[in-house]
Amino acid sequence: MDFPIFQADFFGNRFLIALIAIVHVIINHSFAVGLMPTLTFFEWWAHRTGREDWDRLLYRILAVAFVVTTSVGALTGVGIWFSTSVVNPAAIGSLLRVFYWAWFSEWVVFVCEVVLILAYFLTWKRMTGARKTTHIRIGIALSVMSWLTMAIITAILGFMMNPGSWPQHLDLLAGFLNPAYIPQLFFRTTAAMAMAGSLALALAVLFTGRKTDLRSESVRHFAGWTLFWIVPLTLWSLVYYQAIPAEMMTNLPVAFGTQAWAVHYGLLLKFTLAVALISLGVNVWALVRPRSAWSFIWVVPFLSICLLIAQFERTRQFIRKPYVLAYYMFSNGVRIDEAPYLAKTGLLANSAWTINRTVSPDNRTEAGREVFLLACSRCHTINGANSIRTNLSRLYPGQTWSEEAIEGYVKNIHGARPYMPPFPGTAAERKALASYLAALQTKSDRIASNASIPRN
Amino acid sequence: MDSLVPKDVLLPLPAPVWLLTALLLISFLLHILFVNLMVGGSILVLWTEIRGLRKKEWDRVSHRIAETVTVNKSLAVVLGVAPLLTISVLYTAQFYSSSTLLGHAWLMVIPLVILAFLFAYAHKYSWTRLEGSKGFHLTLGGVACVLFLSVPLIFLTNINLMLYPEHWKSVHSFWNALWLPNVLPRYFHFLMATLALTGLFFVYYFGRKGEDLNSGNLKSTDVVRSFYGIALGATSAQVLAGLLVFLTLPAHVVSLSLILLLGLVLALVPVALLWLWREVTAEVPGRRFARIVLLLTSVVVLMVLARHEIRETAVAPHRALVMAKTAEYQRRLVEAHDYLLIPGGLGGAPASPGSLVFDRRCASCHAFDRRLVGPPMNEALTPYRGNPRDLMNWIVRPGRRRPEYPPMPPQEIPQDELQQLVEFVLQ
Amino acid sequence: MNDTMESRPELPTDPRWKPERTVLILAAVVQILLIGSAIWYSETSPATPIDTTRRLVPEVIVPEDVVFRDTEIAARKGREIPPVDVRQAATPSPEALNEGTRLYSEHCRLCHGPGGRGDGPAGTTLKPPPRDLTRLSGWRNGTRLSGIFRSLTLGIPSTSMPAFDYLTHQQRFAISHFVRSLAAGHEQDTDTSLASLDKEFSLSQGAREPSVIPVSTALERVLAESSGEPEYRALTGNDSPTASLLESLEEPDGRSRLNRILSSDTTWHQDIERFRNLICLDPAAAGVKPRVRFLSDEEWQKLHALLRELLVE
Repeated sequence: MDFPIFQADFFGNRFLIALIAIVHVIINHSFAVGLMPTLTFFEWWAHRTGREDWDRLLYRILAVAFVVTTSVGALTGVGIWFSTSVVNPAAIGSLLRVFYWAWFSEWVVFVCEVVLILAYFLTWKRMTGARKTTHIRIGIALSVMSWLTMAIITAILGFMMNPGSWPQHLDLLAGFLNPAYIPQLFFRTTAAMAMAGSLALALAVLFTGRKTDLRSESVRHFAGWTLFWIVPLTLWSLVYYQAIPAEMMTNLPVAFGTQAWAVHYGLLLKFTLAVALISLGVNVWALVRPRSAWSFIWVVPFLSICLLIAQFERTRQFIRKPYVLAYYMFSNGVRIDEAPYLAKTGLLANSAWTINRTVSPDNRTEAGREVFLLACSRCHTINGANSIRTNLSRLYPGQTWSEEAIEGYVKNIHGARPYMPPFPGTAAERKALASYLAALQTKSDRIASNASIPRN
Repeated sequence: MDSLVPKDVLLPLPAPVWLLTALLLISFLLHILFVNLMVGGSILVLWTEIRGLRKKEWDRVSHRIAETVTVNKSLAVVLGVAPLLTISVLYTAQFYSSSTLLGHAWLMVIPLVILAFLFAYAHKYSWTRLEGSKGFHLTLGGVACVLFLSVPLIFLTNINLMLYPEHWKSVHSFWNALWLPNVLPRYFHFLMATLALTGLFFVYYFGRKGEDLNSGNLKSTDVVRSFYGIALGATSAQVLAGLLVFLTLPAHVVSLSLILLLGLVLALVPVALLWLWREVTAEVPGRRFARIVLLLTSVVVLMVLARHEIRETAVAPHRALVMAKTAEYQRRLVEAHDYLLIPGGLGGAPASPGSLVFDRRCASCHAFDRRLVGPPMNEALTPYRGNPRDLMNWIVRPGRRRPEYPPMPPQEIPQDELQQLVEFVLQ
Repeated sequence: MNDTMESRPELPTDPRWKPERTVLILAAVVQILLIGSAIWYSETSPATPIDTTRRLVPEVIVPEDVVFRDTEIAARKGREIPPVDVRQAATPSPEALNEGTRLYSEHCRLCHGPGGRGDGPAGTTLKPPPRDLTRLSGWRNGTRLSGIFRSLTLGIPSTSMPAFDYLTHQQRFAISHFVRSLAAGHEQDTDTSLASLDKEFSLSQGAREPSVIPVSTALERVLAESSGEPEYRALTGNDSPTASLLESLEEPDGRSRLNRILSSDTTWHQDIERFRNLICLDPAAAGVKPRVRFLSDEEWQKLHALLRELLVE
């Protein structure tokens, strides 16, 4: 409403954010939060048992992590701000105001983390012998700092789904200590450890010869590490599940599988369980038969756990709908408390970047297009992912799309689909939207990425 | 689309403006220092490596420079978080508007920096391995350098665009915004500052005791002198660059405070130039290093203040309008809440609770006698006459009876409401 | 990457040191802590009640037919109602029947059904259901033409039958005739019944329905009238540069708008910032051109002074 509209009409705005965010979570959890304690622990153990071959292996794993985290890891983190500020500035703008100090203190911790990982990596080879203990202490400090950054960010994420009493009291602490916080934090911590173990397993295969003792040892140790963390991970996942607001559970089937696959929810769950069990199985196999003939099998745990985390993140983001900030702001940037006002006075009239401020008989389609951009385009594209045309075809297969039917549907869409926000405009605007959408059946439209500025 | 005055985010600022401003300026200063070192390092690593093709000792210098880039770039990125956070909070309406207008171009910063980092890593870690193929090695460094140079241009375009709301309507793409005054002069200014700062940094780096460059034909004093030369050249060019930036500033952003700050800078720079000259021509350069750094740091601080002054002047009217509009909107929202509704409509029989449920949950897809999304009720309910239990089960877990209709999504309706609904539709 | 055979180094391990034991103890402690805390947390955390009354999406959208407070009624223009010859209107005729058929189809069919059996689609949800007009027992106002006319005009309280008072008398008579054609055996009107109908609804006299405005509008007007909407003193004759500046800024018919904006809030008299914001907020609403935003501070001062002079009594 108050910002220009950016539209990624092929991949969709949600995918843009999702891609950056999921890559970031995978790297952050596997390569940083989980891996640093893993490496520090094994470094300590290797030092205590005098295993220089282990030490070299761990250094190589760290080298990979160093390159990945300081490039892709760090930049995708900032990339989440970049993408959300362009796709939904109202939402991220609100989050920044509420959680400014949280992000600021996380930044301080992050600076320490970067300094420490530079130190940890760049001094590894030099700090040998008596100085090894100091180096391990650097590793411990680094692990603590990594975890702390995640601890702070998790509060913000949990808030988006369940802000506790915040919407009523506007109290920052209530937002920070929201009900989903502790469960999600422990879930992520244990998941990060397990992911790091799987990553180390995959990388160890890269850096060790197939028939060597070091190979079988490292495979067993890293698999064992992963298995160790899977037990509390499973428990905390269940606790986390219980902290999700009950009314958001209705969104689960579509969250998990998209509309197209929601009917097969049971099947998808079984498939996910199968992936998890396979991953578990490979880890157990690693303990029992580390000298497996097929080296590539040791990549499976890492790939599968990445898949599971990606699915988790998608589900988490979706079940929160129709809200982007639960019980405060809908996904289209409209706040709950302004929705009735907009429904009476108009979405177009209250937006800054619109050309048409009211709906009249001669501008219905153009006004409808602007209404679509304001109220729907955050999640729907015209021809790309979650395309509105595809959705309409699914609703009215083989029929002509009638304006009345579409209007009637949009009027109560939040009843028919609980993950849809209510239409935030006047009846005239709704009719205009319906007329625009009905026209899309025969005449497609192209939305430029800079959708607010009319092309001459 | 006359009014480009948006409303601000309807939440209070997390801290007083002066505190946020102080945090912004300090964190930005730290960030830009390391950005300069990162970009400057990537330029100078190439320059020295090319020199190293003729004179082997320069290759060693180059390798050392590459090592510093690793550290400086990570710090540059991490230190950028705080100014980005703070500017998004202090200037939400302006900054997010300009970022969104630039769209893809703004987002490109992320992959460009990632690639720049990866190429810089490749360049550094393949040094010995690619000793024989310097051409390829230089290409790696060259790509990294170009990437590093492109990102500040995008940043500058965004930061510039946010200052001029009157131009927002005409910005169709990044290219429009690029040619707005005064992006390119500022970029040139930034480049010279980068070279000057990095030059001085390497004066320090290679001038330290313990730097073992006295072997071969290259004395550390020569290296130090070279970098002083770069600093001198860049700072001289800055006089021109600064003038260009000032002359291309739109008139309405020039304030008295700005003139004073720039006046101070103009007073200090010649002294710095003089000292730099003395250093370059000295037998053993390095004596004046501390005071040169002190002086130029003061200049940098003044410039940071000047930038802020320009920003505040440019943005102040728009900000005032945004604040007024936001306050007005909030007032209207509060008023509207007072009038909030009496449900039930214009008299007549109060609707039965079941019909309310129907209206909310079913009416968008099911009409009585015609097909909307789902089959009409007069048909669809026939099998359920006298069978409310079956109907309830169906609503909650629909199967798929009619292939010509889209599948009905399961409806999560609590038991009591389900009862009312079924009662209502079946009578 | 070097992946040659890695062999065990010949470093002596300290026989006193048993890292395995430390690791085992550490592992046990960590597991107990994590598992224990999970169990403890799920026991002690307040169970999120399955709140069936809480909707994911609250009903924030105001249904269309909802009114704001009782006093808010829709504005309606007043109209003249021509007198009706009751006798003539009460006599069935082909024209009345045709019109009645058309009007029934438009206004009544949805609830009462095409054949008047009360089986219209919109009526299925109503309680009591719409009357089956082919069955003549139990009609509230009786089955006479006058009774039907009455039902149409007043509606039937505590049912969903609305008052069709927005239809003209003639139209209501026409519908009544149609309704009577749906069955046989209706009661007949007498002179007395027609006379009382006439009296009740002032049919032969005609009437004037006043215009109706919402109370809020009325209040606005009253306030404006009582405070006296200030008028501009004439600008003609005022040759000052500020006056010409103001004229150059005004849109063709913007004067009254500017007037309105400035009289809605009088704090601007003392507060130039407020003055500036009032106008710049939405130049179109204030009747001035957008470039007003780029006036200099000095120009604003002058405008402020001028308008104060002109508007303050």
